[in-house]
Amino acid sequence: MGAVLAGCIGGGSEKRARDSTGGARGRQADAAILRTLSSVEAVAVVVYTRSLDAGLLSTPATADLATLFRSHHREHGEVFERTTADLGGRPFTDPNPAVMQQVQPVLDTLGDEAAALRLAFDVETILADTYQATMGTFADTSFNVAGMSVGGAEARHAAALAQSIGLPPTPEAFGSTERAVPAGNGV
Amino acid sequence: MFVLGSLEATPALQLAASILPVESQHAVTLAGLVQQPPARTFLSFENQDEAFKPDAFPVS
Repeated sequence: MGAVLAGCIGGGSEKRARDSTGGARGRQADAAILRTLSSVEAVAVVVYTRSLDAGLLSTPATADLATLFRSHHREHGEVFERTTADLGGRPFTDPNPAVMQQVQPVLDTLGDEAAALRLAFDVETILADTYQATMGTFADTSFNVAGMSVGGAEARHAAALAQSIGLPPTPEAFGSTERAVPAGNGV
Repeated sequence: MFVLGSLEATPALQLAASILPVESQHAVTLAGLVQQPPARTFLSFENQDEAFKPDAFPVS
């Protein structure tokens, strides 16, 4: 596991005892996944920033939660960017262009808190699905723990947002990968 | 989350990973019911601090 990630989530000591990086090709493949992850985190930052800056989140508790969630996404993105560099890759710092193509039209027409929360919920769901979809794809298997430590956090965000817009916070017994962004897509 | 660092078979890994987000969602709902502060409910990273460790809770 990358040192940056290990510092954030702890654990993983069993796996760090042996080299599980998958060699140079494995590190390259993992860097590609991590670039995708930092790119989708950047999308979430853009979405929350737009809603907050436009004053769409008029309920103080909602604005506070959005500010907290945005700080998480910034932290996640920075961690994945640094870990990409640790693996010898070029960090991807921009919002994922392929996802933004879908999000931007909605972002441009946001008019109220409910719409902003709905978009945030959709983006958090895409992120949670994306992390879950990485399971079994990392060359360095210790990234599985790191990936789901973030995926679980995104699922919490999505649950809170679902409640705020009248959707069930736990719609299924199992998480899905239906809306996942494939690794490498847009980056 | 603890088991994700131990499982090696991909189907088992993916199954465990599909359950974790649902437990996270449950935690959010229950935290709301007991009025737990958001800062305690929403951490940047899920952790393994309170994980059931197989060594501590053997089933056979």
